[in-house]
Amino acid sequence: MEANYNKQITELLNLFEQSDLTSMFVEFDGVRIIVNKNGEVLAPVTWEAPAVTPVAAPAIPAPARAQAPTLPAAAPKQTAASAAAEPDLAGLEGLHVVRAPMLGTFYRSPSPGEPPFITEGSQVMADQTLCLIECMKLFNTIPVGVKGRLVRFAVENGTLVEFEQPIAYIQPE
Amino acid sequence: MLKRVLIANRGEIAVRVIRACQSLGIETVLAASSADRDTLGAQLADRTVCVGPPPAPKSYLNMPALVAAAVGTGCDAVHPGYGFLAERAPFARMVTEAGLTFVGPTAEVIDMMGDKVRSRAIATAAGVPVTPGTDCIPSADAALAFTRVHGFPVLLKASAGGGGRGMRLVHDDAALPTAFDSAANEAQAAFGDPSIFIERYIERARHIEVQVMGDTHGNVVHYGERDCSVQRRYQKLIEEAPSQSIDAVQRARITEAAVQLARHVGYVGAGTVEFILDVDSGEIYFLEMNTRIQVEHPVTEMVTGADLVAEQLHVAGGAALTRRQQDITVSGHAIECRINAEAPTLGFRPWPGRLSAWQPPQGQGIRVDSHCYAGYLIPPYYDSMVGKLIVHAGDRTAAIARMRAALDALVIEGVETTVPFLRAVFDDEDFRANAVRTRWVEEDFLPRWTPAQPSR
Repeated sequence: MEANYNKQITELLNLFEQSDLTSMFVEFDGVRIIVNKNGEVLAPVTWEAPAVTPVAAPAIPAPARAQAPTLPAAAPKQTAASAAAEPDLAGLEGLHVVRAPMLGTFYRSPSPGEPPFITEGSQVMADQTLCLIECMKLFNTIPVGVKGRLVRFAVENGTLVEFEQPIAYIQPE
Repeated sequence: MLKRVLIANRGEIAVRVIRACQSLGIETVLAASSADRDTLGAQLADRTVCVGPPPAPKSYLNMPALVAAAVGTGCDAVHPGYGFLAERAPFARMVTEAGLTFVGPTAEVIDMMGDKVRSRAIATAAGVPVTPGTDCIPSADAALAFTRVHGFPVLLKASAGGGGRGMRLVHDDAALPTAFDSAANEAQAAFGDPSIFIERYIERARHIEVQVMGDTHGNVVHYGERDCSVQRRYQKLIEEAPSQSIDAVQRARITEAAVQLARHVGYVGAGTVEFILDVDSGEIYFLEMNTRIQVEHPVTEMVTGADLVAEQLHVAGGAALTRRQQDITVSGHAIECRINAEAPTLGFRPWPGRLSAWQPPQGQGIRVDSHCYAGYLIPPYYDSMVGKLIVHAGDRTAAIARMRAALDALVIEGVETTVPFLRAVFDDEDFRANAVRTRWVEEDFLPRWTPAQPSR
């Protein structure tokens, strides 16, 4: 299902790129796409949605979120290939993709109940801690890697991430 | 019964285990390195989890990542296949401590059998004959004392050893001190343990092994023997079942000994008790026990009609063995050969690359266990086996004819393979007459083989 979304979204973005349009807002099936060719921050969409996080230029399709394996799910067929080759739309649009350097459980905060290391939308430094990945009780600190703005995370807190799975998107500065 | 199994392996055995799981209605999660995301196993498994980069120490040997992957995907068991972590007691222990089932014997049994000196002692205690030899010896002088009683040649072996490392063949007094030191050094470097023992070397030997299966209820059965005497550098190349080199009395002796040994240690799952047959004296000695499913298990399946991997999963789930000893019968003759992506004319140099063509033979009595397909890229990171060709027929002669035809029908393009070598072996008079030994390939066959050079 997500794979279909990815394909449709890729097609949509290709059409947008070839068109004369400078910005586009699309919403279907709970997926929101906001893109802008000029790199400006789009004004918050007025007619709806405080829920929509208006993002600058390249926005990430919501299914990216759903793509993260929700576990222990009763395994619909999903290959690593699909998990790892996840929406590189982000890459296309100039976003930096932070990938998991190891397999483990992804945590956004130092411990349960504490605030997250970084919230979506905030400015980040390259050496700042992005998240923890726990593998067999060993907690590994994962740095952001680039200076910029954290556009969004690609996985839910507390879920399993695979080696090289996208975990966050950064707008480099 | 198990519900969801993580397969901590790759290649053909991953495919084999996935298929066995599917036949039992068990869900599968394949742990793959990033080089193996598009393998056949990844396509067949219900789910694939990328556990690390291509080098095995960071993926297929990465115990914490594998266990975390199993826990994180809701598996209740881990199947280690063969090689990699299949016989590492710490892995079995880590899997068990995470609350999962390890498809195999307990960590304690793996430990016991992995130590060669200890396993010899256990075999002796279970009444299984071992080659004349010693416990660990402290020095070359102790080795010398042994040779005063048993003569030369002798084999110095690493207690923690395997794959020929830390092993030295010695023919006389003069060579003994140097051989002892270098074997101990090599053992220390390879296994972190310099312990050496000595045993009488059997110059003309055949390798015969017995397949056993145990359950958690204390039952142990055997599935007869395999003859794996066609080897090169201790690596098996061709395996057969049953062995044509032993008689009914010898067969009864080794199968009973194997069951005895397995029962003695409380063995659970599939295991193989390996023996050495001294061709000159007719004596059979215990060599070692492998605590895993073996590469060559299909020949046993062909002659007994069993599914050994399914049986492994079955007993791992706590069930009793599906077959009692009297239900297991051997019919006909089966032969397996391992097809490796290696250039036999260039010292069997590994030959990774993309398969431009892959057409396995088909027909009655032919089975191919492989993870390959046309377009598949054989990565350079792992072993070179691309598949196993197995045939079954009424007797050995018919099986050889069937194998020969199957090898001709097999089409592999894009890489060099051992197929020309295998064809020549199946045409060889010694092989056809079953007049081979474990060193036959190196000492007799290869020196006289005149193959065509590879085309590129």
